[in-house]
Amino acid sequence: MKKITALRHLLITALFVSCVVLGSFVVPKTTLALFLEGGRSQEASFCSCSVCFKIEVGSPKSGTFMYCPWFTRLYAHYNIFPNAWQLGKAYTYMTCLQISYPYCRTDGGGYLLTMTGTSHGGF
Amino acid sequence: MTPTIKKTLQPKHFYSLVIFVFLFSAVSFLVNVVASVGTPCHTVTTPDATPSTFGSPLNFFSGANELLISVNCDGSNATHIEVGSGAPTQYIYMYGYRKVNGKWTRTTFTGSTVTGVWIIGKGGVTIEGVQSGETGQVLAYICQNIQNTWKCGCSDTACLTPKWQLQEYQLPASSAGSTNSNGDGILDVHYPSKYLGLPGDTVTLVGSGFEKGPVSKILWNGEVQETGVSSETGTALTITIPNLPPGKYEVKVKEGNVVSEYGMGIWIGTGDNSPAPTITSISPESGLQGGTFTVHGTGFTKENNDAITTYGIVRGLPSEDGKSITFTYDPFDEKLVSYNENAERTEYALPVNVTIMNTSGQSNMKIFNLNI
Repeated sequence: MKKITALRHLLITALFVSCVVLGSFVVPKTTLALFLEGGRSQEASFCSCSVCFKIEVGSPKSGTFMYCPWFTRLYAHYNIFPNAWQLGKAYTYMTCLQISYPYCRTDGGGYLLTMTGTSHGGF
Repeated sequence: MTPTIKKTLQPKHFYSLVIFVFLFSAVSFLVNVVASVGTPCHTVTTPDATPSTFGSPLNFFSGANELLISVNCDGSNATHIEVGSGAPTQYIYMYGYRKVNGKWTRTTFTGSTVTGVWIIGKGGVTIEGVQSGETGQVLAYICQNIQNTWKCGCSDTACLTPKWQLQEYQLPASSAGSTNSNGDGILDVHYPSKYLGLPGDTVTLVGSGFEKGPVSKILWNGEVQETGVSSETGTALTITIPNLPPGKYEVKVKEGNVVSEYGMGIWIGTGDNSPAPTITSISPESGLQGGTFTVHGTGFTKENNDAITTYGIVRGLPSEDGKSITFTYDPFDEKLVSYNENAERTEYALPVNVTIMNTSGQSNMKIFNLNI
């Protein structure tokens, strides 16, 4: 009787794991892409129509990232500008929209930062 | 008496079901892992991100605007391009083009169902990868049968002018990082474990390129204050704060003739148990770029307070009364003006985080807004 109960527990666990694995395929993969940001902020430019800053971050986890004050959570020491060291997470590519009156035009883009912490930022 | 048959789920049926689901999920998982090589690295995901000379990689007829051209990057080794979403009404021209750093080359897509020069449903090709910082481009031509009308190379639902449809791709930051890491190569100091200490305290410098032997020299405002410092990992260096007067110092590391490019500010405290600065408020709470702002609080020193803000450091600020610091704030090279996506002027309150640092420590953070 104990053997059957143990087997049942094992199989229920297997069913649970299966559901988790199968469930992970239901979520679109592109939304799961998560990128690490980690390096020195080298350049920051303002995207006037998307109200974000496009930041070039150097190695070791380099890339172009979008700091959007209406979305990105900023942690100590709060300095995103050049020479500050950045460490954060980003997901999904976002375009940088610049005013080119009477339109907004695309000016490249980068990965949208969900959160980032920084160093003081140099001397 | 007629026997009745109870249609209940017998234990053996339950176990069979569980085993079936488990095996199915395991197979699905393996298939998925094999099929999904690399990381999504396409960068054009919105209708307005395509130059007007090309068609969009999006499907404007499904209601979901899903991608018809998607790219997965397997580091810098290979790039996997998928064209079409699998619908039998989609016909993909089997020839496309790809461009890496300036040169267009014809490429051939393959698929499971081909008629003439058209692939039905979904096609793809694997090509060489791009390097960190490069932007790859791929062109494809996709026709869709929408209510018995062929729509090809569309930029919108009207689809009046057929065009080659463009997708661009770059190595994701995480992959890019793995290909151009400094490793131990470049001497660089990233940040210290603490920004304030007293003579004799130890501070760990986090960085890269530190020699593992006892060869590093530590410069405080350009003067060697410590020699023979050794790193066990090449990425951390434990130093001792020298016996120098209180104040802010630029700290760099020197190895041989090489000095780390970026200096970091480390403060030597007074040791008189002065309370750390505290910000109680900032006035005005919002203002214009180039305006004057006053930080109110306690623990400010008469000279050399730094305001560390979201958009840079305002250095060397005085405080006559120890309770207020006033500064003009214009850290940007240009005047910032905000618009919405329709190019209409909209005022936005840009938050600026502020902390004050001096020889007594670092304050709490407060925010004021720039109206742009």
